[in-house]
Amino acid sequence: MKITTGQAARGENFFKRPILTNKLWRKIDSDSSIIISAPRRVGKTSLMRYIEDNPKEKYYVVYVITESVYNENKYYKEIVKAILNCDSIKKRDKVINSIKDLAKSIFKSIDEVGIDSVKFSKNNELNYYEKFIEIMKSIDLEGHKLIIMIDEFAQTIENIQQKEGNIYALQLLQSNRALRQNSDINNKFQFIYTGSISLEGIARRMDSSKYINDLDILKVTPLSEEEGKSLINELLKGLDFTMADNTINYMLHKIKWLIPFYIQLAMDKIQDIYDEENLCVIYNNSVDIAIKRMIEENNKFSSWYERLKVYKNNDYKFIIEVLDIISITEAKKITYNEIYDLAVRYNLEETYKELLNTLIDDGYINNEEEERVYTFTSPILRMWWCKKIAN
Amino acid sequence: MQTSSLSLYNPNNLTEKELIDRFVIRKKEFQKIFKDIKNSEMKYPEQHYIIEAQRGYGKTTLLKRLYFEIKRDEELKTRLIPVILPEEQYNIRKLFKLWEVTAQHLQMESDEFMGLYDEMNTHSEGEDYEDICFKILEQKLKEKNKKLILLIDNIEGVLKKFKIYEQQKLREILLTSAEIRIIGASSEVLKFINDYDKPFYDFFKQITLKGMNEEENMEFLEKLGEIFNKKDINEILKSNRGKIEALRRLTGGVPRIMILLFDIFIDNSGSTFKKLETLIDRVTPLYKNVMDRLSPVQQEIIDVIALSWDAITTKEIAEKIRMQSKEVSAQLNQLEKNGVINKIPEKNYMYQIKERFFNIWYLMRFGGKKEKCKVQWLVDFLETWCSREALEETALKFMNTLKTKEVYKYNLNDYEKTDKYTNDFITIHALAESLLWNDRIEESLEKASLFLQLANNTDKYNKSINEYFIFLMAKKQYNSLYKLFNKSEFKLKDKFKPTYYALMYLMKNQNEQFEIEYKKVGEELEETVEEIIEEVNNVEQKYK
Repeated sequence: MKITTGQAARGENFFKRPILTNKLWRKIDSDSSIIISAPRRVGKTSLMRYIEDNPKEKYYVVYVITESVYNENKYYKEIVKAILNCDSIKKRDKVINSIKDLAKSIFKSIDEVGIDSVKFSKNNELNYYEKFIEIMKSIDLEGHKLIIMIDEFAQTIENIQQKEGNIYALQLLQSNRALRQNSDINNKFQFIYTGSISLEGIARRMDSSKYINDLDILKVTPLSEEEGKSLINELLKGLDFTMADNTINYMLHKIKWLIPFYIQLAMDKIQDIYDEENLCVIYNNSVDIAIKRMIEENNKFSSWYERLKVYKNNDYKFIIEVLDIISITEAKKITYNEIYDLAVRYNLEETYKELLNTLIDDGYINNEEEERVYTFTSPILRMWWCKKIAN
Repeated sequence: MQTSSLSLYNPNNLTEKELIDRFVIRKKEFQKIFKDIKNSEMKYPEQHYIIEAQRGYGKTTLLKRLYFEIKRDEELKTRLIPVILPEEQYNIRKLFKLWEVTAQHLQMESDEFMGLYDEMNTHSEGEDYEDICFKILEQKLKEKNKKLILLIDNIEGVLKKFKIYEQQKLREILLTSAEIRIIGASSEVLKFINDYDKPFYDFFKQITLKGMNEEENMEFLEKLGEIFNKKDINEILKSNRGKIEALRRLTGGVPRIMILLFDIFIDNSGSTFKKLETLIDRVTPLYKNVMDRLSPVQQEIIDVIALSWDAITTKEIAEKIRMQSKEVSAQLNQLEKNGVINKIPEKNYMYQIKERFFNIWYLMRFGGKKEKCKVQWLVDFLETWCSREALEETALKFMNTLKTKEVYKYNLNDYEKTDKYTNDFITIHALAESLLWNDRIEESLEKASLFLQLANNTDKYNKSINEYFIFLMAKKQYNSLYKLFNKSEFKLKDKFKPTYYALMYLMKNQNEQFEIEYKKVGEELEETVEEIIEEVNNVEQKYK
C-alpha cells in the first residue's frame, strides 16, 4: 500500500473498511438512492471508487464527476455518455448490443457509435433528461441494476446557481428527484451522490431540503483505533523505516480524529523526515515534527476556514467566534451556555442550533465526551485554527 | 551578462549524457519522484506532482532528468512514454490545444503515435472538441498499451490561461483517467494550489526545491570545476571556503547564481565584496526585468521595501511615499500575489522582498553609500563567520584565550595593572572579556564602551567584538547588549546584523516588541543567526 494524500485511494492503496462498505451495500440493496455524507477528506470518493471497482453481482456501476458542469442539460448529457461508455456494461455482449441499437434509434443525430467515442453533432442539441428516461425505459440490463454515482453533485448545483440563478439550480434538484420517483424506470437504477460540498447544506440554504428528503444518508465515520493501527502497519510494509507499537499509538493519540487522510498525511511527513535524516526507526519526536509540519502546510487545512465563508453577517461572526474560543482557551472547549450567550449577542437565538448542528455535521466540533461541552473534533485542526485563524 | 558557464550548463543545451553526468544536486527530489513513478502501476489514476521553486533552482533540469530516466529504464520504457513540454508554450491557450500539442510531441517520441494529431484534427468542427481530443489520446494510449507521463515546465503558465471550466475539466480528467500522469514545474504555484476557490486547490503533490546547503554547493562547484576542466578546483574551493560560503548565504544557494559565481571565482582574485559587485553586474539584466514589469507606484513601493532591507509595515511604507495606507495595501497585495514580496503575519502586516538576493542587488545598485556600506559589513561578517573553524574548535580556541579560570584571574590582575595607562584595543577588549568571565559585569561593560569607541573607525576588530557579544549573551546580559546595539554612534546593528537578530531571538519572550523585531530577519541571515544562537549555548555550557 502506497501513501496517498491527493488522489482517491484505489486498488491496493484503498484501505478496506468492511463494516462501512457492507453498510453501503445494505443501503443499495434496499433500493434507495443515497447521499454519502462526510466532511472533506474523509474518503468518500475512495469509497465510491471501491464500490465501482468491486461491484456486487447483479449491479453495474457508473461513476460520473460533474464538477465542470454548468447547466442541467449538460449534467444529463454527462450521465448518458457515462452509461454508454460504462466499462462493466461493455463486458456484456447482449447489453452492449442493446445499447448500440438504442443509440441508433434514440440518437438520430449521432453519426458514429464507437462506444468510446460517441460523438454528438453540433446542430441538434438534444434534451438529455428525456434521453435518459428513454434509455432507462428500453435498456435491457439482464436483470442487473445500474448504480449511477455522481461525484461533486453539490458543486454542480452551486455552478448552476452562480451562472444561471437559483431557479435553475432548484430545477436540477427537482428533476433528479423526479427521476428517482419515476416508477416506470426507477427499478433499473439508483443514484449515489457525493462531493466535497455538503448536499444537505446547500439544499438547506436554498430552502429546498424537501427535494432530497427521499435520499438515504450514509455517514462516513473516521477509523477506529484498531483500523488506524492496521492502516499504518499496511503503509509501513511499503516503507523503508519502522515504527514501534507505542509510537504508532502515540501518533494515533495525537491525531485523535482518525480519518485516513490525516494518517496518510502524517506518514507522508514522516517519510520526508526519513528522507532528510535517514532514520530507520521512527520515534515520538519525529511524530511531533511531522504533525507540526502538517499544520504548517496551510493549504491542507485552509479549506476548513474558507468554506465557512458561505455564511454571512452574524451567522459567520458567530461561527468563527465559537471556533476561535475553543481553539484559544486553555480548556480547549466551549460550554453550551457560553454558546447560547454568544447567540444572544449576535441575535441568533432562533437559528443558532442549526448553525451548531452544521458545525457538528461538517466535522468541526462535537460534544461526544460531555453532553453540553463542545470541542474540536480534530486536535490537529484545533492547533491549525489557533495558529492561523484565531491569532 | 557573461554567460559562458551558464549557457554550458543550460539544461536545454545539454545532451542526455551530459545532463545525467552533471546532475549532482536535487538527487533526493529526483529519487523521490522517480521511485514513485517506478512503483506505480498506473492501473488507477495516480498522484500528480508539481515541483515548485523560484527561477534558477533547477526545476527544468530535474524534469529533464526524470524524462531521460523514464526513457532509459528497461522496465519503464515498455509501459510508459514520457513527453516533456518545454517552458515556453505560448500556443496553449485552450485545453484542446494541450492535447493537440501533446499529440504532436507523442508523434515525435514514437512512430506508434503517428497520425494522432491528424486524427484529432478531423473532429475540430465537432462539439466537445476538447473531450474528443482527450478521448482519442486516451484511446490511442490504451491501444498501444502505454501510459503517458506528461512533464510540463512552467505549468502555471499553461493553467492560468485556461478558463475555470477548462481547469475543472482537466481536474476531472486527471482524477479519472489512469492513462496520464502530470509532473509539472512552476515558480508560482501558490495561486493555483493554495487558493480554495480554484479547481486545483490542494490537488498536486508539491515538491519544493530549496537553495543548496553548504555541502551541496561544494559538490556542485566541484562538478563545475570538473566540467570546465579546472584542475585546481579543490584548491580554489578550499582556500576560498569562507568567501564562497558567505556568498552562498547571501545569494540563497540558487544554483544558477552559483554558476555565475563559479566564473567569478575562477577569473579574479579580488575581495569577496569585489566578487559580489561583479556578480551584481551579471544578474542585472535578470533583475532589471523584474523591476521593469512593475507599475510606477509598485516600483516606488519596492524601492522603500528594498532599501529598508528588513521587513517593514504598511504604515511605514505609506509614510515614506506619502500615500494612503489603504492604497499602499492594495498594491502590496498585488505585489505579494505576483511573488515579489512576502507578507509576515503580525498584528500589523510586515513586508519584505521575497527573493533575498534581489534585495541585495537593489541595495547595491540603487542604494546610497550608506546602504552599500551595510552590505559590505554583512559580507565581511559572513565571511569572517564562515571562515571560523568548526564549532568545537572555536570553543577550544575560546577556552585557550580565556585559559582556565585561575589563569584568567592571573591575566586579570596583569591587565588591571596596565589598564589605566593603555589605549590599546586588544588589551581593553581582553580585559573586558576577563571581567565578564569573572562576573564583574558592570566593569566589563564600561570597558566595552571604551573598546567600541576605539574601534569605531575601523572594521579590523569586528571579529573580536562579535566574540565579546556572544560571550555577553552566554552570560545572559541581553538587555545590556541591547543597550549597546542602541548606541547609534557605533552602528552596531548594521555591522553585526546576524548577532543583533540572535539577540532578538533570545529576548523575544521578554516583550512583544522583540518578538516582532525578530520576525523581520531576512532569509539570508537565518542560518547564521541559528549558528550564533547555537554558539551562545555552547559557550554557556562550556563555561558554566
